[in-house]
Amino acid sequence: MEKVRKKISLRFPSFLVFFLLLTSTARAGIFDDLKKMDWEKIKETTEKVQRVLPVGLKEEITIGEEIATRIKQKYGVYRNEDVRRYVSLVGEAVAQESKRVDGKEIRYHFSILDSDSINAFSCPGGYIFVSKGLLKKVENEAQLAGILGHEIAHVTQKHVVKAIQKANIVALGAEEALKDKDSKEFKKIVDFGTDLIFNGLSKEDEFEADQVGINWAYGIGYNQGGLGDFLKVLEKTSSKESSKLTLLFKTHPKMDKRISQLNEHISNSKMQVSYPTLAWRYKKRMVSLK
Amino acid sequence: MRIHKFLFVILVIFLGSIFCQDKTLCMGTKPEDAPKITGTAGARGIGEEEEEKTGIGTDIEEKEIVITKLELEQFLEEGGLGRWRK
Repeated sequence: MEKVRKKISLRFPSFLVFFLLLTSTARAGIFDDLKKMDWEKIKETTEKVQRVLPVGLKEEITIGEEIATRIKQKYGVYRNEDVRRYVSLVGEAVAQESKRVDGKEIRYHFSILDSDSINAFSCPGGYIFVSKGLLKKVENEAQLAGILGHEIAHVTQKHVVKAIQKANIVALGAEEALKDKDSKEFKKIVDFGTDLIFNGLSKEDEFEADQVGINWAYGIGYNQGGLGDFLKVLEKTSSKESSKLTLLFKTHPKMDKRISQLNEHISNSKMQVSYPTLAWRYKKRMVSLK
Repeated sequence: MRIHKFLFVILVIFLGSIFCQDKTLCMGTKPEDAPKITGTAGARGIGEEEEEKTGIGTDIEEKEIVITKLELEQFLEEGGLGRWRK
């Protein structure tokens, strides 16, 4: 018994030193790290990941229609049936080449905004807008096709819908609210979607829309340089007109980066055939644009 | 035995310092007394967009543009697009 006690008393100091060393390590690292973690946020995020708002095509169209109405209210619509028909024809031609990520067919609606600012928007469900100012700046049909291809790509890749789902802005069990346009939850979704369009999607989404859009424009037979050429036109826009580009610059990545990524994509995708730009038709059909 | 008692006291103090790390309590600063962040994070340049609000109150109803298959085909043919591209 005495032997055992002696053994313990001899080992106790070394055990204590070891224990102190061990706890010092824990004190320095693990405890601090655990303390710093925002457990409430982690719990909240885990719950959000577990519930993704199911937005079907029907719901997407309803949301898009509502956002489109707000955009029209903000800018007003430019009434020129000839120009709108022409824009719709170019858009429909590009859309023929497109394919949605969910494989579903969709009907596109093309409108012209009564604004001198240079911009284009797209809403979920296939609502595409180009401003009057943008049409004045475009030089040929291939450029217009590239722009419309970019906007259509946002719809087919469901960029806004995915962002709405990711943001999880509505409460659990709010799926029913999507069917009720007057509900608070539905308004919340539309507010979020509208803000997203005016504040900009992610850079990745924009680059993807550039590349996917140009694939379709080229696929139907437009010059592969269309969108890139238009971006170059914007890059050279005089400081006098820079105010017309404020929103576009705010919501999109830098022009030079977009142009270089597009050029890289064109050479990687082997878009070697130089299709027409159809400048003659653009000029002819835009005569009545004022 | 004395050394053991002494080491035991050190151990207790040490463990106490590990498990009592809530500095807000130790230092007399309660979380509710901490300065609150009240900025306008995420606010966007509204000014530049305000002037764009030209369409408010205007009629936004538009006639639906119907494009027939034939019209689209003729359009593609004229431009040498689609199956007419060279």
